[in-house]
Amino acid sequence: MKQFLLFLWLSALSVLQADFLEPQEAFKPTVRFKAPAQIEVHMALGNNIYLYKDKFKATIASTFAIASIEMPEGELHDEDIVFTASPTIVLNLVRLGETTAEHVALTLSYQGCSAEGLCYQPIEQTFDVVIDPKNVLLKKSLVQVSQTDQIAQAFIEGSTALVILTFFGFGVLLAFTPCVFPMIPILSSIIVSQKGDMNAKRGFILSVVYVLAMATAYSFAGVLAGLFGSNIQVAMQNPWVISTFALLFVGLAMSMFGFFQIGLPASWQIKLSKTSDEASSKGGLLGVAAMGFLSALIVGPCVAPPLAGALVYIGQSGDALLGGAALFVLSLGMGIPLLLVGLGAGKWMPRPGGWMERVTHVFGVMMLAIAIWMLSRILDATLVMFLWAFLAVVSAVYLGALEPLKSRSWDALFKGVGIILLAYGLALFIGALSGGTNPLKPLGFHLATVSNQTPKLAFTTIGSSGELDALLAQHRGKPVMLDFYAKWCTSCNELEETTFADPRVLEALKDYVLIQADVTQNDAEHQALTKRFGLFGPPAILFFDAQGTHTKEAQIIGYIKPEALVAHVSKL
Amino acid sequence: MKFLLFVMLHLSLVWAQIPWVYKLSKAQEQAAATQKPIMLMYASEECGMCTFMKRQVFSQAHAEAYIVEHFVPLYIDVDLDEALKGFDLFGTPTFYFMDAQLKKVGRIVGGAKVEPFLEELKKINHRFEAMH
Repeated sequence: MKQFLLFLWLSALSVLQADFLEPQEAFKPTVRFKAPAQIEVHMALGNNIYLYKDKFKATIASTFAIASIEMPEGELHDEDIVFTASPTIVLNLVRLGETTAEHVALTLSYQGCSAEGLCYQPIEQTFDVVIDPKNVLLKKSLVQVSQTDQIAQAFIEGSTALVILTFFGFGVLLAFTPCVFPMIPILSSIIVSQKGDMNAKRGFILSVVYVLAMATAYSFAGVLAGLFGSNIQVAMQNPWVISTFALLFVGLAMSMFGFFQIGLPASWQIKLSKTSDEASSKGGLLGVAAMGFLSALIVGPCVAPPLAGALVYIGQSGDALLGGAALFVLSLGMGIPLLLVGLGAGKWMPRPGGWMERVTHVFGVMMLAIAIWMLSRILDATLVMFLWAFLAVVSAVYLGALEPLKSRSWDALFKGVGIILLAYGLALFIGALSGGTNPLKPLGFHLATVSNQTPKLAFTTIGSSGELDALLAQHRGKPVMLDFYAKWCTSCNELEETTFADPRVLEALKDYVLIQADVTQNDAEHQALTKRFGLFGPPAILFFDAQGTHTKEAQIIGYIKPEALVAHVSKL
Repeated sequence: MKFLLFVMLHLSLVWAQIPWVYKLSKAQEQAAATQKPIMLMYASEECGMCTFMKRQVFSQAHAEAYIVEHFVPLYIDVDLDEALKGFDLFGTPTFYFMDAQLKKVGRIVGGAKVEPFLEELKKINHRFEAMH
């Protein structure tokens, strides 16, 4: 009986099962490592066998991981995408940490059917794959090596000529940023304030001298910063230097208004006219050079990726010569628009006469504006508003805004401009009295209470390493973005107003804990915090992962556009 | 509403007539009481051939009538339940035929069109009758 049963059973099998392949015949995967960092899976399919594309899974349990899977297109079969021809599937590998392991356990799971009418059970198979880990990239470095380190690396890899040329290019790109803009009114004021004949050639020479002095200062400061890690430009941002420099501009302005003849004590007069002689009078090339040198140090301390890269290189290699040369050509590149300003100012400078005087006065006002702008780094914002109001109102009065029109000539235009200035000045004054702080929107504080202000990233402000650690510990489990900011840092303010106010950036960073290190004062705590991360100054944007670890590769030095920041964050 | 109607219509077409049971013990009880063999179907939600069987084969009146008359239909979804001990499978649909004491009578691996499938069912039924 038993044998009979077995016979029946076998006959049934032979009739019904013969057509179907065993799973191990239906699917024959082979795997192999393909340098530099791929595993290739070839799935040999039996006759009439097809494989579901979306059922194919590959996992690796070790310090390696699969970053992405490349599969053939596949074809549509009963609402599913399937492979009917034996597909070759490529797995792109990444490393999750340091490892020299050469064996990885690769687990494939897949599912398919025979077109003759059977769907195989899901199959899971583990392979031991021998790989060469040497060229498998670390996952974090997919984000990119930080720009600073890339540039520092370029020094070592590139030829001297290439480095020099590249840095000149970087300089030209930096020329059109707020790091250089303040130099334009300064230089043009200096050129305008020159007494005697002015022409294109002379204007150009003056600006060349200015730019050379500026470049010297930049490379000098840079080499010192690289070698000793102390940033002179940042050190210059203290109230004494700033107010002295602002006073210098006030002095220059006064001399342009021809005020020295009236009212000032004799000793002041001598001192001031001496300064102005040095800085701006006939043939005052040395004075122009001094202004260039000082402007570079004081006006716009901007840390940009190429600058930081050069500083890192100097610091690491001690090669002050190549690093310094790179910084020098970088500054020359930054000076290009200044040379054009010099050329233009020299060429279109009116001849002495009625117009000349007016133009001189305009630049005098501009110098006062620069002085106030400098002071805004150290003075209370409301006080600065008063100063702006004062400047605007006095200029308006000077333009004859409150006097009857003598004739219907150009005076009408000046009076018109004067009245607008007067209105603006009064608005500033009212704004300042009511505690407003933004000179561009003097009455904005009224509106702010009514309408919504533009949303910005809401940072928690800190000023020391200790505060940072406390916050990092408190927010363990969440990624953190740390922004280095200072009031005197023009790129930082640009970041605040554009990038950090961009809705796309707000969206991209909504899961981040946002911390801002305000290092305006540059005191010991601030310096320690900046040094802790090997930074040379603001702006810098640092990222910490959910475990509170600083991901150096991801740091951003200098200004970054909203789109670029969003793209950067998406890669973290 | 239309969609609901559509779904109900389909369900009734596929399932209404074949009185599937979903527990082995229940199938064994029925098999013992009626002296019919159990027809076990291993199926899975993801399996195109299983859907084919439900929609194109079991829905046909004569196939359905034959199954209802001669078998106790037992349905096991392999995604939800383990395969029975001794009744292995490597794919779906797989059909096993057995008596109330779980003696194997036959097996069909894979789906088939209604006529060849019915042919196999008839052979298996003869074998069962020969055994008992």
